[in-house]
Amino acid sequence: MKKYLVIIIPVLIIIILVIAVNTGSWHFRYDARTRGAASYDGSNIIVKDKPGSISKEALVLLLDKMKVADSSVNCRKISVSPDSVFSGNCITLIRKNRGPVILYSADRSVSARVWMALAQAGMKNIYILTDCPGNI
Amino acid sequence: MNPRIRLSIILISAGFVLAVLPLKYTRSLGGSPAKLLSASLNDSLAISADQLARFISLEDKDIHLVDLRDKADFMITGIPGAVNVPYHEILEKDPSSFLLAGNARNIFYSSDDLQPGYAMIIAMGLGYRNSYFLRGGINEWTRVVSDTIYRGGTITARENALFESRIKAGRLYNKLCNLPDSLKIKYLNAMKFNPKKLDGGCE
Repeated sequence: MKKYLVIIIPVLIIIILVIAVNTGSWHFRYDARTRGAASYDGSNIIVKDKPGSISKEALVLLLDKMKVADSSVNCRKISVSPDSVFSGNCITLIRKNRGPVILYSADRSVSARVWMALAQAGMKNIYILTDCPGNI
Repeated sequence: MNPRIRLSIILISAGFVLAVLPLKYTRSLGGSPAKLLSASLNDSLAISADQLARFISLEDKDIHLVDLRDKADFMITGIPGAVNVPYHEILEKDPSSFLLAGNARNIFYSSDDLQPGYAMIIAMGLGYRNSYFLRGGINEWTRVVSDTIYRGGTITARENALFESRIKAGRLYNKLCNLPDSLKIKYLNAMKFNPKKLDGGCE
């Protein structure tokens, strides 16, 4: 067994590295173009008043102090400051959520920046909620 | 050392390298996502239409406009001095071919704020921390600058200064928009960013 330690230890290190590289949110993932692909065709955009656009399993992150009070958003909502999105609690909530995670801010550029940062860090199933489709 | 163990070590080392490095060359953002996002949320990175009008009226050489819309829209209503890089091409091209480093300000704009928001994170992640965006995009520019008119009445010195820079920038903008396509293409080609020209000195 001891003579195989010289093989087992490096294999274990590689496995740990691979897991860390692929699951950590502390760094950006490879291939930025693939990560940001949904932003090219607007498939990451949800229009608020479109019926059935938001599932009950969705988690809405309110990125500014404005609250989404209308009944069309019938799912869990939490307020989070945009620069705290990568904090431990928030990232854990994002990862563990079964449904989509939806970003909402009255300022679309804030939602866009947070979306791109999350997407490039490897988060999936993230969307931007907007009041109108606009020019996606 | 046993040849099998030696071979295993070589294969494991190769696996170690492959596990960490990408298989093919792709562009990836650098740095910490949390720090980058925090830096990008600085309010001073949002340029208003009035600020941009002032830069254009003063012919500020430190600003570099990047129009993220399709070429057709850019040809109709591009802001004077802008280069056109459609958003979906932003990661296909070498960023140094359309972005400036150093003290220059790379200002992204589109029809609204979504694409410039995305582009800012991408540019900053690629090392261009001098990235900004035009708040409200070309729609806000048109509303504030291009369509500005004097409605009469007394205005303050500050309002007068704003009005003058809007008028001057608006004239340049409208002049460019009204050029026939052939002349517009010549003008835009002349304005194209060429990194070699920045080297300075004599050839």
